[in-house]
Amino acid sequence: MQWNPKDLRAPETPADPGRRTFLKTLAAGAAGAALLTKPSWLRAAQEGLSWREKATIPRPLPETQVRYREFNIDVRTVLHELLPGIRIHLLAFNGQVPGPELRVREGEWVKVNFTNKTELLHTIHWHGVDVYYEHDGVPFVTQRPVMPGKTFVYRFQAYPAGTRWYHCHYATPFHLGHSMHGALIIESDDDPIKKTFRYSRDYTLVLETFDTNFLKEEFNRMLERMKQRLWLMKRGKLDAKTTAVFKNVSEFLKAVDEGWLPPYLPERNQSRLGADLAPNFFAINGKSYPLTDPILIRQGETIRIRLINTGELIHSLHLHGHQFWWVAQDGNPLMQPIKMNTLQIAPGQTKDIIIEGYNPGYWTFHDHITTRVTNNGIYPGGMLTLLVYEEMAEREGFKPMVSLDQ
Amino acid sequence: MNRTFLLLALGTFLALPLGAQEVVPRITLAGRGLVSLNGGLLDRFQGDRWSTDFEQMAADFSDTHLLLRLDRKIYGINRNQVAGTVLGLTFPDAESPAGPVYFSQAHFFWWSRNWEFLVGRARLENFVVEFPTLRDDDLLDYAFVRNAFLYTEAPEYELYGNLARLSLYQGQSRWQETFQVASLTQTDAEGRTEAELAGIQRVSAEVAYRLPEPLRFSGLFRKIGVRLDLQPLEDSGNQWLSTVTAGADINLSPNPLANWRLRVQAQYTPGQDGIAVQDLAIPARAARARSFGGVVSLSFLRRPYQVPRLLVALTGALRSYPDQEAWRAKAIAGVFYQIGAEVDVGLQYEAEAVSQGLRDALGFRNSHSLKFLFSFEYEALFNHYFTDRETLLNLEHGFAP
Repeated sequence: MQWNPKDLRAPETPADPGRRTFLKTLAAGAAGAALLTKPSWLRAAQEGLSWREKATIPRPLPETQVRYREFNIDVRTVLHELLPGIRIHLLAFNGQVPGPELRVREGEWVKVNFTNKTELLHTIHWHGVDVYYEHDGVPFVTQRPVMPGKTFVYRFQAYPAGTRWYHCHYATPFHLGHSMHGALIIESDDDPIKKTFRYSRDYTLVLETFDTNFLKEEFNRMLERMKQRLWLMKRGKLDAKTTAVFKNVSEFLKAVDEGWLPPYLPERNQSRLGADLAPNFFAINGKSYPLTDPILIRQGETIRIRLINTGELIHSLHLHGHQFWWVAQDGNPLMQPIKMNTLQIAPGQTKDIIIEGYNPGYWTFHDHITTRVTNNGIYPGGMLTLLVYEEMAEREGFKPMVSLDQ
Repeated sequence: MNRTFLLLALGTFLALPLGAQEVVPRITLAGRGLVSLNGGLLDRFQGDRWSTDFEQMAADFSDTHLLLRLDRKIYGINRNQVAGTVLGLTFPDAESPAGPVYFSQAHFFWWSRNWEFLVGRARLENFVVEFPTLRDDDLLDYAFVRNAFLYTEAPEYELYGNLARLSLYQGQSRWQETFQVASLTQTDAEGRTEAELAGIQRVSAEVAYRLPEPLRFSGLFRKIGVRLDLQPLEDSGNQWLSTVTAGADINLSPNPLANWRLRVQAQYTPGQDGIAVQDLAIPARAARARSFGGVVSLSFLRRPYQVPRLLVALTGALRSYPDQEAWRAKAIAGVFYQIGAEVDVGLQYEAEAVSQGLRDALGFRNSHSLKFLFSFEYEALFNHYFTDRETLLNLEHGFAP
């Protein structure tokens, strides 16, 4: 399998120049710089414009001027079953764990009506998407958080193509540790990976970690606190010191000078976040092994798998019986596909791989940090699924059994 | 149910070798270190005249207690039941016949979404409303159903007993019905235990509408309820001594930053005939006398930034004995300030007066006392792998402890 650098086309508007420089360097070493199309920031610079001017992300246009692809997303509290007997309260987009996968075309204008159906505050951050800054979903930085019962409309032009995702950016370690995350796949006709590998099926695997004990404890604390704050808010009695939200740093420092106790003080709070966080369940698309969905393939078929690490841990994913191609990171195609069988993926990252069906059988695909292939410490479980050759599954014969305690 | 049954039940649970040793229980260590410096004036009858004596300042660490709770999820179809045990000790008053250390809690409990069962030694909960006073027994003569088998002052024997209690809950745990049978400690006039935890000395039932703790600021009534306590008096021709208690705990302002709260409770005991006024100094006799008790309390809790800091409470209480034409009344004013999380300093003033007829029996006609409080409360959870029954998630979003 040869990667054709000609298929790597520069985007219409540039990405991070640092990354482009890096890609260019890589390309020079691997395939020769001459084969690269000039990135647009470089073209812009040569045309006398700075790449920044050329790269300005457009403010969302009125609906009279462009046609939007519209989605309705809400967040609610659900009782989700990871495994029989393991039910946890989660914050979930549209009640799904993970949230619904959104698929749009590159360049398409996207409108997301986001409604908060919980008593907590939320936003949506479009992870890896070059949105106009007011739609980036960072509370108090680019927008006010979406209040209970309210709707916020996110608008952006889908760009750049690739495996992206979205998640709540309010109380991020907590809300992300819930299931407030989902895949955003931006498709492109010019996708070099598609052109090169001609894959027939496309899977998305959202990797999740849950510290169910922390989630329960913190969820209850937040709900109790917010119930009281909502009462105060409705009566105009909620102040900056109670919410710990200040107009600026000076106002915060002034409050401390006046004797206000910041909530991070050890004499006021002891959060279990950080070193004490101890995930005890690991999941793929909302389920832990043996309830994870298998990845289906046929002999001679090529499939693409989009991996999205929404958790707080690094995973080391290993596929048995195959070498696969690592083709993209953070949604962006690599300069050169890399053949491997074990892939590390850090929190927040997406990585795409291509699997070719050349070795029929039932093959495990799992985190090789094997403590994550457990359910509450019992092996096997957690972040493990199977690559299943459909024709074998259709025939009589050996089929994988389910073992829960080895 | 009698003592034998209770002991057998306890013994059976403890003796079974079926433990799941690999499942470490959730461990809760809780308690309170409480020291007060007490001083006061007592107007007492000495010889042939009344004189006012100053009671020297004394350090009092009664009500200091330590609790250990161990519990775990248990097998079940829905995996939503929890069972455990509580062991607790408290330090009684210096004069109490309960000894230097009293094991106030030693019970087994078991709960699910809509019920809670408890068997063993525990708090009797012989009241409808709890009042904001420094110590549990500050309103013993006014707010509690008294132990009708106690012939000496022993607050621990009034507050705790061996019991079996079943509580049922409906409507997101806002409606509660409680049924309880209890064995009480009986003593003679010298405080010697005549019979401890034998037979049934009390049968109780309570119906209440209440707000679970996480919802305590979410409505007008924190609690409104009525209860009936029956005490069989085998030494009085198998009569049943009944007491009816009704009370309400009202959020005057449900503001979680500045919470005004009104608590009221009324209690009526039809009582027995033939109790002389001088007998009212004996707890058992006072408990058996026809009486009316009423308590009213107004309190203000300041919680800037949702952190409790200041509690001010004013409480008035009255107990009248119509057959003896006697009464006693008490007023308590308290100011408690939290200097750190669950670390309090405070001041409580108490004034008590008794009617003409009761003075001779009790040996005083009025008293005043001042108590400086230093209190440290704590609760630490270890291996916190499930949540309590009444969390907001369990109440409002489906039960999954």
